[in-house]
Formats: sequence, structure tokens, C-alpha cells
Amino acid sequence: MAEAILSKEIPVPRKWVGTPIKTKEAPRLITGRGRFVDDIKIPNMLYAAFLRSPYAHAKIKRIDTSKAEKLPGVVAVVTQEDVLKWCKPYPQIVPPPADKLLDYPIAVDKVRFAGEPVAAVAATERAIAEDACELIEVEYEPLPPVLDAEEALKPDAPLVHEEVGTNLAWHEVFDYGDVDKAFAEADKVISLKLHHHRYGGAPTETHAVVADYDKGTGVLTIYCNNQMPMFCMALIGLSFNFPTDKIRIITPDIGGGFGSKILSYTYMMLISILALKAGRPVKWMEDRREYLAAGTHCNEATFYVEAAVKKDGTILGIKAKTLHDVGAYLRYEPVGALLWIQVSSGPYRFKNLRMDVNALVTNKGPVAPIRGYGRIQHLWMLERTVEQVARQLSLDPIEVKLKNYVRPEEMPYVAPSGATYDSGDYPTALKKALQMINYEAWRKKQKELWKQGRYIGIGAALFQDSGTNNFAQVRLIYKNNPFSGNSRMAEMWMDEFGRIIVAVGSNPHGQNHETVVSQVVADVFGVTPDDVFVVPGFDSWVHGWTGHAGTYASQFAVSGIGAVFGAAKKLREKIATIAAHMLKAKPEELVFKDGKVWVKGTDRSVAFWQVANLAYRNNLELPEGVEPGLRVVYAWKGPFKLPDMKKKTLNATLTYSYQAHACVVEVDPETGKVKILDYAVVDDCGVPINPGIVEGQVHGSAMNGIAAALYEEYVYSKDTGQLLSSTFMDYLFPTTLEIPDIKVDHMISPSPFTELGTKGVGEGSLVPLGSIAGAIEDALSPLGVVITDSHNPPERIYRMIKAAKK
Amino acid sequence: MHFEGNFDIKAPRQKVWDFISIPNNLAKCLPDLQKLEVAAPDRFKATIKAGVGFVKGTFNFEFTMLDMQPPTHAKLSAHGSGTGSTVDLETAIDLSDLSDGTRMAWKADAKVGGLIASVGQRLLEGAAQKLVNNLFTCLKKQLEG
Repeated sequence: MAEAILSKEIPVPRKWVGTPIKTKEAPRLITGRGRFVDDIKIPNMLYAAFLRSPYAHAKIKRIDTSKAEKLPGVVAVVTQEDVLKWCKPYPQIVPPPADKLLDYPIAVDKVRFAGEPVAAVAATERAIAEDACELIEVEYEPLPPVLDAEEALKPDAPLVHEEVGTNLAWHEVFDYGDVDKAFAEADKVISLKLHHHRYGGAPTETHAVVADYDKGTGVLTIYCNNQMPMFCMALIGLSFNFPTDKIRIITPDIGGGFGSKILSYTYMMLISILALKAGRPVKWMEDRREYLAAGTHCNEATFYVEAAVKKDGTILGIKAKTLHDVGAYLRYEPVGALLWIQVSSGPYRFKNLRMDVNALVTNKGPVAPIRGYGRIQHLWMLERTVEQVARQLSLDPIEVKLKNYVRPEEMPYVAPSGATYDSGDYPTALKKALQMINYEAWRKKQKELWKQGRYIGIGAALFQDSGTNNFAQVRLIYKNNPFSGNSRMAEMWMDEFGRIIVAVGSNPHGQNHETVVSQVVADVFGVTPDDVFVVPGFDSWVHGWTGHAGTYASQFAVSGIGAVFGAAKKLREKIATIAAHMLKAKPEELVFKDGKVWVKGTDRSVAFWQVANLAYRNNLELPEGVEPGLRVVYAWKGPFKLPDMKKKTLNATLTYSYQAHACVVEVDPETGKVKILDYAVVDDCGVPINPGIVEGQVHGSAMNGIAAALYEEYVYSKDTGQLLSSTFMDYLFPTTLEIPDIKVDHMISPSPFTELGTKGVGEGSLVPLGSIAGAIEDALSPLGVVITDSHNPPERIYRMIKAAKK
Repeated sequence: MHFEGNFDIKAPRQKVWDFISIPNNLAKCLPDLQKLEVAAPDRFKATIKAGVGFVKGTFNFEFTMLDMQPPTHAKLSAHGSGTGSTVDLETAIDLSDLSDGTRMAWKADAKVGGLIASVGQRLLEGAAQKLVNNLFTCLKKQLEG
């Protein structure tokens, strides 16, 4: 059995950390025993449905709910009138004038995207609520919509928010190094216009809320599947006219998130208002069409890029103007327009970078912090640029990448923005991935196949996954934002029978926190993961939390585990103090093993339950000054600093995982269809706590990226702003049939900045956007096709081939 | 969506005008009409069953006749809603004489929103074209018959 040594330094690796044990969550989830929001049934509960705007942009002239209210079974109808009574507008993090932007949980005076909630109905059955929505009469005055970031910038563009006076919600220029000098010294300047498309996460479980107001105690319990509800409490608390001390938030099992389950605080408030008005609990379960239409898409971005390069492919500097289309409301934005700052030069070592960043509101669904938030767009842009540098200089893109990568001996490496890359070996990872697809052999075969009219291409890319962010980055959006750092809380106790229980302030939705937490704690106490119970789900009245709580931004392995590790050490220290007293030994002489505390090298021991009994019940025998009970709270705080506001630099994240992807594709010149012939991933996420879970993350994220590159896209009609990909018939969510076998290998570069050497691993997912774009361009290089869009369905490729052949 | 076309009717221009400028007549050619309510000579409400593919439902339309220049030119504007969708329609009709009847030149701009626009978009144009064809075939039949 495991033995834990009682010293400050716990050696790595340990028995359980680093072991691919089966997850604690899987048995209940794969046998249908998981408990999700939709499984919650409260007596007297009502069901909600929303009336959503059919227009992308229109004035609301009149809402008549009288017919709906008369429908038998309808208990409450909520419109802007109720919402204005219960809510203040959500606070914005942007500087003036966009800080004036008015955002509520429901459309007020105007609708700003097709799919925006206009009214909500609570009825005894969902079907009745839906029928009642049909009976609500809304008189709209249609307005011309603005559906494109560049259009939105024009002075005569329709205004999405009149109160702001412009569609430009945020603009900032970041200038690092000496960009002008870099361009003056360049042998060549490469210019590109690129477009990163809108896609999103498609979790199995859509948004869901149950709100239950207890008139007796005044407590409002919100069951939801928001992936960071206590983080969102900042918004809820500041805008909802309801005492925050009486709000209790519970998240049971959550069926996936991918960042889309962050913006649901608007629904948490709206369903609460319905419950308050109805005087009965209300459940709302979003349907798939609502989910797709209501936003939570990723940032759509247009880039104007210029790269200053030497003839040998050395990149001297990059200038980019970016236009982010963030949709109708800012919500979490313009953070997504800023987060390139975490990976400013990507995996590359150029020092000179100028970013002219613009965030624009349009009449499309509001964007959300989708997986790889704000970094994926930037990393994809850099990757396209580097590949074009190579092609325009007639060099091999792989060689140019290897030439420009940060070298392993330069780690930790400070990127132009101040982002400090902790560890890693990028060139080795890329080479390894290329070996896995037999790169050399394909290169030889490729020329032969071109002659036969077959278009085979090879692509490879390396993206970083920056994890555990420093929220002080929002100060670079607006210096007055009262927000910085990062933290996570864990509560841990040994019960009176000697069992260990952990409650962490996170909202896992596929990350298996119960498993990894039990692995870390098991090593600290010399027990097995089965001996550690991790309280499932989240309850704001049970689980310790801080203002950064939640599950997002690739950080649990650092911040969550940091809190758990800290709490475990604290609890162990207290147990050791009591055990030392019982064993008449010094704490440093003790070891924890098999559920007992031993005096090292002897057969003298006390069982955990004996220590616990003393602490909980037999407390007259407790040593002097020791408080009864065995319960501790520990809050982890990231070792971050505030930004340098003058230089606009900061170390934005603590860890940098990375993935190198290499692939071989074949493009059918007749149809434009891309077939993936081989796909390989090399992952380095530092010390993996559970390599099995990491493997799952790697596969899931590769699938996510392949789908984004070839299948998934939110398409809006160009004139009316209707979402055209509004079902899975048109929004092409992939199945296993669309995804090739993926070869995976690992490297381990422990992070020097985290206690266990761990790094985040959730978001380096979208490397296929880079590798597949490169492979398609490589396949079609005899035709000189340049890939400028991140989404390449058959139609787009077909048109490019046709245009190139003219 | 924009549609336009011409068709010839073997009937004198005045007869055509008289038919199309009176809501009760025009309504005879509205597809799947459930209910008609004439509020004024130039305004009427119609409940119509319509849809695309499996997305079908009842729409409440309000029609307004505008810019009436008998017997040459008319505009008909309509706003309909139902089934989580909206339809905004602007049509213009111009009549001219032919040796053996009347030529009707028409234009229609339709903006469809909501469920039908998003779910049914692939079928929308075809379905709308069919609706328009049926409407004019009916008008022809009514006037020539």
C-alpha cells in the first residue's frame, strides 16, 4: 500500500499521481445513473419556454401577453417589464463609451439578434408553455441589421446599441519591441487577410435551470449547469435585485460545456424571476435549436496581417489588425479579443509585435468563451502567416516553423506581451508528430500522386494551451476593472470515522475532478483513491469557493489541485499533531500508511478513526491549543503580478501545455471534399495526474478541432441575419464516422511554476485548424491555392480550385 | 428573397384590376385560407396555413394595399406571424394592355424570420416560388374562367 512521507516536499512521481486509474465518474455516467438538472423534480414545479425574436434587429413596439396568460395551465409570463423591475443592467468591463451598453437577461425595447428571448412563460407542462408563447403578440418594427464586423465599423452602419453611439465596443493598440525597425530590416513583407469563422461547443446537455424560491426562508435555490456560476455571481449579484446571501447555487452532473455554459447566468436570472412571479419552482431545459441560435458561439475574427521576414524565413515581426465580431451583447467580451496576449508570439520567437485590436457588436448571437478562447484565433492566424511566409519564399513550411520556434533551452521564455512560457520542447514535438505520420515517405509519394491528378497534402502545426490565467489581464481592457489574479478554494475534512471527504469549488463537466482529486489526496494521506470521497457536483453552501471559482481556462490541474493539495497538507498536519500526542512522538517522526499514522521504523500506530474520534468526540484528551474537529479550508492563489500598464505587458497565464499535430489529407478536386488519411498528435501537458484522462482530453480536443476545420459553422443569412445552421442537419456536428483514428504520443515537461509540475490540458484543442489548413494548402500547392478561412467545407475548396484553374 | 415575373391574362385590364383590388376577390386565391376579415377597403386580415416541409403552422397576416393607381399599379404589403416565424412581404403589380388581354408584371420581396427561415431555409425559396405560382395560376383561372 501507499506510503506518504511527512515532509514539506512530497516527492514526484507518487503512487497515484501519474497513474491512469479508471475514473470515479464513468460508471454512473455510462450506466445512465448521472444526475443532471433535468433529473431534478420538485413538487409543484412548472416548466418554462421562451418566446424568441424572429428578427435580427427590430424595435419592440408592443407586447401583449393577455391571450397567453388566459391559456389553461399558464401560471406566469415574464417580459421586459418584469425584468426591469428585478434587474439592473449587467456591468460591463469596457471603458467608455461602450460601458454604457445596456444588457439584460431579456430583450428590452429592441431585439438585437434572431433568437433573443423576448418573453418567458411558466406553465404546468412544457407543451402548454410553448403554446402560450405562440399566443403572445409582439409588434416589431424591423430595423436593418448589421451582420459583419467591417460593415459595423462604417459610419453609416445601423447601431446595435444606440446608447453607446458606435458599434466599436473596444479598440486598443499593443506595441511590443520595435516593429517599425523589424519592417525596415525585412527582406520581404508578407500580407494576408484572414477570417476565423464562428463555431462553438456542442455539449450533449444544453443549458438548463431549475429555480426554487422558498417563501418561508426567503432562499432562492438555483440548480443549473453553468460551468462557473460563482464567478458569474459577480454579474448576478450586481444586477439582480435579490439578496445575494439568500441565493444558493447547485450544479449537479453537467453534460459538457466547452465554454458555452458560461453565459447561462442570464437564464439563471430569468428562470428565477419566473419562479418568483409564479410562486412555484420552475424548470427550463433548452432545446437544441434554442442552444444553437442563442449565441455562445466562438469569436469570429478578421485579420489583416503583415509579416516582416528575412529571405531565410526568419520572422522579424508581425503587425495585425483584428476585427472581432462579438455579436449583439458583450457579455464576457471583449476578453476574447484580448486573450491573444497569453500566446502573443505563439510558439515562435519573434520579438516585435503590433496588435491593433477591435471588438465590434453586430446583430448576431453573443459570443462566449469557447474552448481556446481568444487564443485559437490568434494561433491560427500566426500559423497561416508562417506557412504563407514559407510558401512565398519558396521554403518548406516545416523548416520555417522549426527555424522560428522558441528553443527548449530558452525556457522559461518571455513572449513579447510578457507571457512567460514555462517549459517545453516545441521542435522535438513537431518532429515526433511528423514521424508518426511517416512524413518523409509521404513527401516522396506526394509528387508522384500529383502527376496522377491526386492532391495529397501534409500539414503540421503546434499550438499552445495556456492554462491558469491571471485575471489582471482585464485591466488592459479597462484600468478600472477591480479584478486580478486567480484563486481556488477547497474544503477537506476527515469525518469522525476516519474517512476523508473533499469539496472543491469547481464545476466539472467531463474533466473527472472527483478522480484526479482523489488521486492527489490519496498520495498525501497514504491511502487509495477509493478511500477519498470527493463531493460530486457543486453546492455554494457546501463547497468552498472564491470569485474565480468554476471550471474553465485549462486550470484545474494547477489551481484546483493547488487548493486540494494545500488543504490536504493542512489537514494532514493537524492529524499529525493529534497523532503525535497520542503516540508520544514528534510529528516529523510520523508516516501515513494504510489508514493509520505510524511512528516511522516502529510498529506503533494509531488508526485514522482513533485520531478522528479524539478530535470529534473525546476532546478532553486533545492536546493543548488544538481545536476540536478535523475540518480545513485552503485557498490557493496564483503567483501573479499586476500588468505593467505603460508597456501593456503581463504574465497572463502560469502554464503552457502544447500539442503538435501532423496530418495527411487528400483533396478531391472534383468535389472539394477533404479526406484525412493520417492524423497524429504529440501532447505535452507537464506532469499528468491521470494519463487516461489526458488521453481522453487529447482525443476529444482533436475531434473538436477537426470538426471546426471541416464541418461546424454558424452561418447567418447575409441580408436578414437569420441563423441558417440552426439544427444538426445544417450545423454539422461530427460523429465518429467523420473523425479518423488519431495516433497519440506524449512528452512530459513539468511546469517549474506549479507545485506538482502539472499544467492545464483542456484547450490546446483546436490545432487541427492549423494542421488541416496547412495540409489542404499543401495538397493544392500545384494550383497555388491560399487558405484564408479557418473553415474549409467542400464548397469553399471547390470554388478555390475552380478559381485557381481559371 | 426576391421574386418577379410576368404573366398574361385573357381578360381586359379593368376586369383584372377590379378583381385584384378587392380583398374578398384576392382572398379567393390565398392558399389554405382559414379566415378572412376585411377591416377597410384597403386593409384585411387573413389566417393562412403555410409552412415549409415539416415546419407547418398557422400564420396571421395583415395585408395593406398601398399606392393604388387604378387600373395600372398597386402595391400590397403584408406582415404575417405564427409558428415562431415572421413574414414581411412587399409586392408591386403593374398592369398593361395586350392585344388580347392584360399583362401583369409583378415583383415581390419577402423577408422570412424565425423557425421557418432557420430550419426550412433550404426549402424556402422553392416553397415560396410554388406559393407564388399557385397564386397567379389561381388569379388567371378566376379571371379567365
